[in-house]
Amino acid sequence: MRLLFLLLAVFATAQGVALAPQVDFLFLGAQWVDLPKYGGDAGVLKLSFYLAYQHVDVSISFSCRGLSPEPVRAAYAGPGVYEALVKARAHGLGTTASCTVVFKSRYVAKGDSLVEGVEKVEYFEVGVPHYPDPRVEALGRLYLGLRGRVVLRVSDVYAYNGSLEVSASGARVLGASTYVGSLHNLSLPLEVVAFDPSAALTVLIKTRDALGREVAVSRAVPLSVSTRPVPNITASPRWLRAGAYEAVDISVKFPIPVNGTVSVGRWTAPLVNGAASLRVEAYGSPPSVALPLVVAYDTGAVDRFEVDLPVYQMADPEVRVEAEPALLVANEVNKVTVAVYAPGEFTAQITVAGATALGPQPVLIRGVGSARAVIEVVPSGGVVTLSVDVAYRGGLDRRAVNLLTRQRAPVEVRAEPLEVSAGGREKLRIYVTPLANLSELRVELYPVSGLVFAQRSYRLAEGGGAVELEVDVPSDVLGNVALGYRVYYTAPSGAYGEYAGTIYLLALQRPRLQVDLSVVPESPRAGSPFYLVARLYNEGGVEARDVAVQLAGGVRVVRQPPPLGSLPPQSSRDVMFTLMADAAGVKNVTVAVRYSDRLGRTYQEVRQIAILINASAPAAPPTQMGEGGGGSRPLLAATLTALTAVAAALIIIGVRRSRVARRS
Amino acid sequence: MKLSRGLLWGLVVGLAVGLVVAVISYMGLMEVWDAYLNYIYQVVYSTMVKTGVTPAEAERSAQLAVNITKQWLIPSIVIGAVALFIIIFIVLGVVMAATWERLKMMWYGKGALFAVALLMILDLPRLLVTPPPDLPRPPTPSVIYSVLEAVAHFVGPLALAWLLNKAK
Repeated sequence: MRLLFLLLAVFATAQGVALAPQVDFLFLGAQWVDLPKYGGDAGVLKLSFYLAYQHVDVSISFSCRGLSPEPVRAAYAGPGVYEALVKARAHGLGTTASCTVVFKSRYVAKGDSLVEGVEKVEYFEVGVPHYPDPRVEALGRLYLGLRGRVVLRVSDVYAYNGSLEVSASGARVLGASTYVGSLHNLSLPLEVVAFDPSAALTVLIKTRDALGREVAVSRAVPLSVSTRPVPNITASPRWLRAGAYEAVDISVKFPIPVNGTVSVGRWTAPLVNGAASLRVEAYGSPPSVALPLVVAYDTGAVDRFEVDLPVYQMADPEVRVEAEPALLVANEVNKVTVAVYAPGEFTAQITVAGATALGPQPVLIRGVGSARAVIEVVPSGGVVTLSVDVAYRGGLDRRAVNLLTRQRAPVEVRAEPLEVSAGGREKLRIYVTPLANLSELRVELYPVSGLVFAQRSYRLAEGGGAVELEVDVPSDVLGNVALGYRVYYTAPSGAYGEYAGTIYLLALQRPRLQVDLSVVPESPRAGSPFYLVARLYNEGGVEARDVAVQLAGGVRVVRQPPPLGSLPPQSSRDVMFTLMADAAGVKNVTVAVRYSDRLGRTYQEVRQIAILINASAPAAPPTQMGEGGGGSRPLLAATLTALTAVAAALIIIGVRRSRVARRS
Repeated sequence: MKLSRGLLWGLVVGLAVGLVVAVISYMGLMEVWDAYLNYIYQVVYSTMVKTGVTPAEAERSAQLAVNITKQWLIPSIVIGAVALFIIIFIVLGVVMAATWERLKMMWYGKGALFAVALLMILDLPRLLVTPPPDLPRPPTPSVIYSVLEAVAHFVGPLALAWLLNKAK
């Protein structure tokens, strides 16, 4: 049985060999051994042939569209499968190249003899596959030391899967940094903290090429890193008062949402989304205070700033000092109530200047919110100053309150009479009446203006009294005259005082004009101008003002005198009117002189004068004037007539005789 | 007739008539001399008073005017009369010489013709003009002096004609 099966097998094998067709050359195909990685790169293409015999001096050349192969030569090939590796440069990836291959051999060894070689032309198509070449970029901006978000974009021209692993240099990637999946068009968000301005991401991509071989591609992606933005730091209030603690609100605001902590000294506040605010307490130390502000970011980065606040010497408006009464009486004991207002618990120290304060000095008071103190002071000057130093939680503040001092008149002084006439001696009574319980009263009188007397001093009883004073009033004084007094006294408190004043009296005086009239010439004639001269003499003690002279009567004023103005005392002036009377006779002329004094009171002086006006001047006597005028004219006319007649006769005779002479 | 002859004899006759008229005027003025000075004084004084000056100044001004009159009036009359009549008779002589041949009459007829013209110019206004009523009238001498002046005015042209005729 076993032998039977063996024979069948041999038979079958013999049948196969005997019945197989005879194939000398067969092109088996082409496949890539090494892929081109980019357009223009060269790959290795393996061409497989089946050769029944051994071929000698073989050359393989082919031409492709999209590939540039290099020809291959070999000394011999076959028998059997012959594989030729051809280096081919790909024009582009992802295409299919149509190729024509020419296999040529010079000889073929068949048995022990060499026969003529063959030349075979084959056609085939081969694809040029893509090769993984991903483009990687990071979109987004990072700030140095701050957490930021960037988008890692991976793209390629064809779709394939792979793994991606992100690492960073100069930065730290927070969260997942790997990815597996399609890398054709990938957007991968990443949270990154950059610690260096030149920070970059390193992306390692692992995938396989078209031949299934593993490909690892690494890309370095630079990151856009900016310096950290400066926050907007505001403080309220913007200045501090010197020597006082004050709460300051500080606000920090970043233009980007950052998180962390803001601290000023021992005060801390969270920084959320780029904003933080905190209240600190600062002491005003001139000239300025710098508050150190530290911003610690959640990434560990730290920024330090300073908030500068100027310090001014300004009083705290919450500290107030009031004092009553505002008006004090000099040299008397005045009770002054001082009220101090300050926030919280405080201590105030009151010092008095310009007055004598009774009791222990300085006055210390304590209170919460407000406190009062009553001080007894005796003012010695015109202004009393209360200086109050207030020590409270805000520091030490100083206040001053000025109080005015009023001098109360201790005595009343008056005089009688109040009007005196100028140009004489007057007896005055000066009454001195004390208004308080004064002792050792002494009054001193002295001239101030207008009055003439020697300075005198009188000692009076405690109840006052009257003194008599004889004064001379000059005659040229008009109006107010004054005498001064100075009263020395001892106050009830024992203080020695002095009170001075002035009494004004009225000195009466008036100008008085004496008027004398005269006529020049003494016997004026009617129709002829003449003069009326008024001589004004001021026999008063003061000047006469606005002197005006008016004239009335039966005469005509040819020419008015110019305005007179004022006439000084003890002086005279002539006022001349040029008059003319139209008719003869006695003319009563009235002359009124009006004038006023310095006080505006008006006076008038009226005088009358009788002027005898003679008739017009007589004509010249005949003895002197001859027969001139109307009487001389007839004789002269007769003479002229006679002479004219004689002349006429001579002319006539002359003409006739001339004719006769010419005829003869 | 030459004009130069009329000019020459006009000068001679004018000098003579001027002296005669000056003597007549002087004699007439001497007749009313004091009254004339008083007239001057009154006129000046009245005028000054009306202007408003003081009496003393008015009197001083009037006295000054009288002194000036005393000193200068008579020489002024003599010089003025001689000069005036020399001018008048020179003009008269020239005109007479120019018209000598045209006037067909004897020399006395020509002289009488110019004498009448001179009387009309110099003496007739005395009869026609009257002085202003508001001013004081000046004193006038006897009318005989006016008559003598008129005769002199009449005789002058006749003498000039006689001299021109004789010198022809």
